[in-house]
Amino acid sequence: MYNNYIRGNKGFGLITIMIIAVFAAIAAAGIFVGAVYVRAKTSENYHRRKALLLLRNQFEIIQMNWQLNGKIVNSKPNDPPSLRDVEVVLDVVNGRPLKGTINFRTPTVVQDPLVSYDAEFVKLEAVISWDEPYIMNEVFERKRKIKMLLRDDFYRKSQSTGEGS
Amino acid sequence: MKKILTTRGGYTLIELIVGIPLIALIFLPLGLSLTFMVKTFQEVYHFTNLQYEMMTVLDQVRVGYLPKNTTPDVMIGLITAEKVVINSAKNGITIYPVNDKPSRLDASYFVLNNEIRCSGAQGASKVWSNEILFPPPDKLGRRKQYRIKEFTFENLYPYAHVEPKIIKVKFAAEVRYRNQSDEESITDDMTYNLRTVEYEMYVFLGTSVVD
Repeated sequence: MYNNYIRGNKGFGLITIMIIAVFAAIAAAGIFVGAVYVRAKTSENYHRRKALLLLRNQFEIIQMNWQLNGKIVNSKPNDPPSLRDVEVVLDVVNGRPLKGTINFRTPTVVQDPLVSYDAEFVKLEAVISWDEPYIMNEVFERKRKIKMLLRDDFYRKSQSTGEGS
Repeated sequence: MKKILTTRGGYTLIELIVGIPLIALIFLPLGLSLTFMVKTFQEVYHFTNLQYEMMTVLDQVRVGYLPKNTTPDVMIGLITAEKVVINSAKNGITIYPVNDKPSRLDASYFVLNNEIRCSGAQGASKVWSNEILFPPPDKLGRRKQYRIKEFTFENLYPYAHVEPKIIKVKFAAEVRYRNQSDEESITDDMTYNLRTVEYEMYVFLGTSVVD
């Protein structure tokens, strides 16, 4: 039996080798693309997490304005600015800063009878957006727009009851 | 068996010269891809772990650290603060929570020996002391794999004329994926072997007092 295997003239033909080579190349390419994709997605997740934190930070400032002035938009000269577009840096990619922008939407006053007839709240939404570098960005220079929205409600006694802010 | 060992049959030189490069040609890309994959997954693991550890520290500063064998009522973080004191180096903060009991605890978060630590005290006596929050104990050779680059506290609007205030916590740390090789320059080392994560967290302190 051993003789048959070792001394036999039967072996792999060129076609067999070519097919194996093609399959191996496909497997190698798949693994490579998968690894690159994982790398890009991990980076994107970091940007998303950081973006959410930066967005939350702006709401903390607005919350302070709300407590100080009873308003979302500040009126006193030394108070922090709010509801203006804010530019933030999310990361440094290939030596260049990856910048994002926070835009506030116009706040609206909402009265919700399910909460209280005497209470209303100011609904505020903010969006952070940035151009996420695409997979193999160095080669293709492609980017993808990502937007994240955060909403917060600022409650107060209803203005109509004369108990404003 | 003897026949096998003594036989002079086998592959010819031509067959070997053609066959070996062909096999190498097939398996080289596959091997390179597998190496790249293993390297990538190690990097991803450490990068996400760094983010997780850092967010945990920020959450602990915000909400409070829970020492072992204690109950959640000893959790003291910025959101429960009545008064906070930032040290002169700006790398430590002591938080006095809203609590009018004479037995009230306070908690400190600070950097000591390149580690973020937390201590809890009741008056002059320590309840828990110098518990390490960051970095995790992972090592690369003899040095630590995770390193603090910055951990500072700042009163964001010290000029605001009316309380309350906002505390800005800046936390930057890096992870080393692998040691610098002899061929690598410092720039290459920083580009390929290190990854930095930077977080900034603002915490609104309600009606508390900042010293």
